[in-house]
Amino acid sequence: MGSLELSNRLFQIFLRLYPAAFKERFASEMAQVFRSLSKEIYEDSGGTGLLRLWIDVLLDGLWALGVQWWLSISKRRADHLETNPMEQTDGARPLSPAQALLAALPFLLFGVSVYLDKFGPLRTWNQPIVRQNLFMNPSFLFDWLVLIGLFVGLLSGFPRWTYSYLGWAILFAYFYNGGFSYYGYPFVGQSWLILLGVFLLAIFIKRSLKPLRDLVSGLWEEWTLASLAIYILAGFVLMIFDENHHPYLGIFIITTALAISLGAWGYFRARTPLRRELALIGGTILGALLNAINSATWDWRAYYGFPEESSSDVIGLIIFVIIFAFLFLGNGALARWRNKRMKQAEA
Amino acid sequence: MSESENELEKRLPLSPAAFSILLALKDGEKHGYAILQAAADQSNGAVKLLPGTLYNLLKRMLEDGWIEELDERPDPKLDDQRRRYYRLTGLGERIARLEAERLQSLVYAARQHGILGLKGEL
Repeated sequence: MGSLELSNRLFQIFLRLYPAAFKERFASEMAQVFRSLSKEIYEDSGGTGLLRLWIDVLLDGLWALGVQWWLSISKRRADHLETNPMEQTDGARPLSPAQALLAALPFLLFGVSVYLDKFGPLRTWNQPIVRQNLFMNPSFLFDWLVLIGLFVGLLSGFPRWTYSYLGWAILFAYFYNGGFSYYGYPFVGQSWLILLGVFLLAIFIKRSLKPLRDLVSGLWEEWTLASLAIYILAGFVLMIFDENHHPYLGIFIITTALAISLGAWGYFRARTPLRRELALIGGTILGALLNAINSATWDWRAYYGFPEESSSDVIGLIIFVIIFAFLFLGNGALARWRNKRMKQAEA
Repeated sequence: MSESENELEKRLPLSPAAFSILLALKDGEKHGYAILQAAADQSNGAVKLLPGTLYNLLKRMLEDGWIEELDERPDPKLDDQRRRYYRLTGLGERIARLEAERLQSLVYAARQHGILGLKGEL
């Protein structure tokens, strides 16, 4: 196969990435223009010219792809709203109380796993490493539950509660894949492979890429989901209580888990981006407040025999809340801008 | 100035690529590759259209009624059956004229400020 023929075939493959309607109407013409253009350039400047053309065509094509997909999704959304006027809220529809509970469940379950890790029969805390069964420890069990939730969500059209499970599954895949040895078990990518396996299994069962498309289109429609991802990280940090030996630690874990879960529940029940972000900020403030009380009533430095330090843990938590609040509000403003643009486009 | 003219002015300024396409079609109906070549020629190579941008703009212009597709090719015997031809509509011509006037007034302003030599009145 000659260079020109190969180049033309590659371009035809590239054209498949366009939205169906655009592809159907313009792909053959575009292929024809590319054929004429590449023939002319190849005759003038040979393979080097063809390579330069490809760089330009790829950059140009990626931009055009982005534009066409934006237009296609906007149009689809506008058509959908026209036939479903009840869905005309600012961004995604609020979930029902039960669905919001399902979405907040991973937050609560993480709190439970932290509690069991420290106080339950399968605890790893204060246990000799030889007695630990890694795959039966509470955080692993939590991870499996989250993966099951994600899998169910993938099979059922990726309803919005599934993003909660997706976020936690990604966080745990990352957490277990630091390339370190966890209680003697080396993790060098298995956690990502398991996550990938969940996606592949869902695709295999559905015999379609629809689960992935549902995931991406949901993300596209609700930009505050980026804040939910940040909130999951904040929740993890606030609920973990690592190396904490406060005499009332159990109470702190449970109340923080409830506070963080409440923020997540509020997020999924809210009608507008601002309210969603405020729910997340509220959950973060409550969680940070409980952590601050924990820090103020238990001196971890004295417990571990560390020297006194002038810096306060409470100030650290205030800075933590401020940074996260800025991230949430910034993202909320972005989501609001986006929704406004979509409404203008629909009008 | 009519209201629709005001509406049209809101679409200005046009991108160099869009203006080049309208200019290319002012000379008569053309297919995609011919538009691309004409755009390069009339701008001394400054406007290099590639398939992605070209068809993004052609699609938009078709939707906005600035151009239309010909039902028949000018000379079917001489040409590839699969090629589609486009021509400028009255609306497309008006928007091209408005953009040209806008550019002309900019050139005039540039002359007034001594950026361009005064080679005659606008």
